[in-house]
Amino acid sequence: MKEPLIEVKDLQIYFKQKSSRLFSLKSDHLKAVDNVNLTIQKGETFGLVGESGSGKSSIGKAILRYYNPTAGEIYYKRTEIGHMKEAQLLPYRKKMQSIFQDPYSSLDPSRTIREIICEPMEIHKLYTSAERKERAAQLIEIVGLKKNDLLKYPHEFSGGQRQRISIARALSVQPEFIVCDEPISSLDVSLQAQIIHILEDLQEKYGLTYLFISHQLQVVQKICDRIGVLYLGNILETAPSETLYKNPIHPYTQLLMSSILFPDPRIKTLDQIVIDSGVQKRVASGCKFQNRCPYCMEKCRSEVPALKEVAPEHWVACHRYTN
Amino acid sequence: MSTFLEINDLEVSFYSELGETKAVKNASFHIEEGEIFGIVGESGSGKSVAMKSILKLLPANSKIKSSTVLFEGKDILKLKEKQLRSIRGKDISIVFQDSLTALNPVYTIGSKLIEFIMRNHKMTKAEAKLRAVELLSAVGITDPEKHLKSYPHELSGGMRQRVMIAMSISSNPKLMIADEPTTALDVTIQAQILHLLRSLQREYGMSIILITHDLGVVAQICSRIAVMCGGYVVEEGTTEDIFYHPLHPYTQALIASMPKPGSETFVPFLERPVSDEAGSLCPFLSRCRYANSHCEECLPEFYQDNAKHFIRCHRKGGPL
Amino acid sequence: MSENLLKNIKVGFKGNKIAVIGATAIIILTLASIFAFLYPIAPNAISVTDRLTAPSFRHPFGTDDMGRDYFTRCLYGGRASLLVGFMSMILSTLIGVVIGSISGFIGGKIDALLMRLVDALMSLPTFLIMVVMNAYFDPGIKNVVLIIGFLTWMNIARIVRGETISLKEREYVIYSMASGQRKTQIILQHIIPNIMPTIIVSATINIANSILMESALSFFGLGIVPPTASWGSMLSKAQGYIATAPHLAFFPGLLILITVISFNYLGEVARKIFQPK
Repeated sequence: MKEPLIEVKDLQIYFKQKSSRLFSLKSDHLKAVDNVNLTIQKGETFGLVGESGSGKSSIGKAILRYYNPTAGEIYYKRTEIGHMKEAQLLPYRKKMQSIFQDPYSSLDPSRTIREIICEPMEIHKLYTSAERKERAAQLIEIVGLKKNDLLKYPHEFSGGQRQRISIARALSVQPEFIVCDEPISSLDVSLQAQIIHILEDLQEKYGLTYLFISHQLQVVQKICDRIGVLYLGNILETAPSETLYKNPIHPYTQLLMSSILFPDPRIKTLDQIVIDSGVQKRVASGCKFQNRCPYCMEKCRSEVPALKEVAPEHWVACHRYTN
Repeated sequence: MSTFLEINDLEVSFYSELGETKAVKNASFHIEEGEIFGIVGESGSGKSVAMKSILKLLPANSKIKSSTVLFEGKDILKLKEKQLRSIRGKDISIVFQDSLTALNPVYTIGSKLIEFIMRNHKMTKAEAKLRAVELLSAVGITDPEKHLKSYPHELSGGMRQRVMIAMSISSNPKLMIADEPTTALDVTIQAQILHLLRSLQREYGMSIILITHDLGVVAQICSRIAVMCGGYVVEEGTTEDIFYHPLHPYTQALIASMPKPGSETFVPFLERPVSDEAGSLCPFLSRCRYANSHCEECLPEFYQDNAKHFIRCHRKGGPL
Repeated sequence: MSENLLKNIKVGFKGNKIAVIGATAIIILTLASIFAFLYPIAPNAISVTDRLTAPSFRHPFGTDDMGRDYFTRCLYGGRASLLVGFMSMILSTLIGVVIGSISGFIGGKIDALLMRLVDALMSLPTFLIMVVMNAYFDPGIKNVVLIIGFLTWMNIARIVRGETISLKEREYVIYSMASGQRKTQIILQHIIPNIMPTIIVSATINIANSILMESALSFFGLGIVPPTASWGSMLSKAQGYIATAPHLAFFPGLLILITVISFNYLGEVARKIFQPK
């Protein structure tokens, strides 16, 4: 029985930008997220992939209400939280936690590890001070570090260890949902596997739901159940992980898949890559991919294609598939 | 094929108020003409420092100790600055990772490119301009004339990287050193830049040394690979050997930790200690599951598995 | 953090002999001022017979025009100067940090407003304002501290605002905000501790400036008035006796010089210690 944990409807996140024209009173908008719809089921790992400028990080931050939606709604178990006031939002913040990308800036260098892990518990006024310290000790061991690491400072740890501390911090308030925003991209290749392992373990143990944001296609394939492909603020395709890799339908997804460099000298993929202009250009109307798409039609320039289910669970936003 | 770049026993240290840091403890490379040679390793393994040192591009507080770098038979470490400058940027060119900081923001890319061209060839400015347009096309930049007037910040990351590559091939170099050329780029652009590098290599017949931590990159375009760890080269071999017959425990763990389509699990890897503890012993000592007393006594020498496969390990591929 | 700090302090002072001398000088001067009461001769003890004597064994710095021992007066004068310098620094740093961090963190219209205020205040001729304000308020240490404090916070505010803006984007701040932490708590727990190095460096330089300002004020007969000694007022008095008793100008002048330079060097060392990049 599928139970949607997070639902995002027609989400728009626009940032005001100073107009580049000299005498203009109006400010331009950077449309970081432009009408995104997605649903994350309880217990699944939903992947959001895209390149720079795709808006994937903004979606994560909007769900966490770090950004406020310019338009659209965000639902947590069918309660609208996108427009909730701070006071009512606090209990929801406890259920949603986050892990970010840069291990060197995700932990406050002036605080001890214990203080860092206890912070969310303090914010949500959970437990007594003594109980928090005990909980921090348990959590640090769950992520594979030692109790006496609690009194040390972040700079005494490596990148991989810091990410583990971030995970311990996120777990401290027993969340249901965690936004993982490029949690392994800044780590050495050899450590990435380890963090993924921990995340998968914890998901099983605590029944967590993940939104996994990444640009690393191979990694996403391994740990995500379903994946959404973003380009310049729009979702172009959503499908179960295996399907997306075996049968990518949208031209952009195909481009992405063909760009994967397999770490296997016997599988030469470089000869099959699609050569295109490689330039991401924001357009005023129509499909965001129009300038790079080999199948671009008239309609593509004027009308934004809507996401349509072309196969079970497989949604594509492309005019070639509109009936 | 002749060995046209031979780096022997390279040792590079940095000096600061806190003492000496040995970035490269001992590394040797033999690059053949016309090949794409990959150097992989974690951050801090010394791969970047090693390559910058041969062109003496390191900061003043560094020192290269006792090494010979033979380029086409001449020891370039012993050259005077003036002679080195004629090789740098001409016979050996280098492409950096961060194109935004590598390109001077106050000059248009056209002016810089033309300057590069004229430095290496006797041409008039008009001729150099034509050549610049040619080069920009060769690296896949559309509207090359228009882009001559662009400033670095006006271009996307991928385009800047192409401009850097155009500058580095402008002198028809015999060797190009590319230091993490695609790490900062988007996935789709990354593949295209690599494709470009490979086609340029075929067209111009130059050798490329590609420094990266990305095994996918080396698997696709390198013919031979050196694996660096903690300032040492621990294994060197053909790409096939490294991926299918890795013999050093570090390489084995690295290959095993890659997410491969079809395989089920990741194999976790031990964490590198924050401080440099190994000193002059095997750099993988603290993390190696086969380590024993011999490893704690002395640094292993290289042993040879086949004509091109060298491994620095006491284990010699089998149980000790 | 603390062992790293000690290491950094050692490194900071290592190559810099002048800084070590400067730090020692300040420590000596501060201790001397505090323990001035131990010196047997009182600062205000007038002696008509001993006027304007040159430095001697009994009076190491000589005597002034009222026969008062100059050495003691310099010690007590140091008290006033250092006290004013220190207290004004505290006041202006407090104001500067509060305004700078709030402005930088909240941004938007509040930031714009506060920064325009800073711009306006900085464009005023500080010294003249001080002179004017001094005319309205009673002389005395308290008012001098208030006046200097309220007119020198702007620089710190700007610097703190700049650092706050860059720290605001750090992932640990983003995390705290996404977790529901209140803005005031974030500024107190995450922003300020991490800009302490900058604050300390600015504060150290601020003391030097405050001491100079106090000296200038009392030189013009404002600020601290006799009979309380102050290096500035002593200098002022000494003007009339430059030819006959140069030691009256020399000693307070030298002390001001040493103190100000030492604090400036200390600021440099503080920068080296706390911002070892």
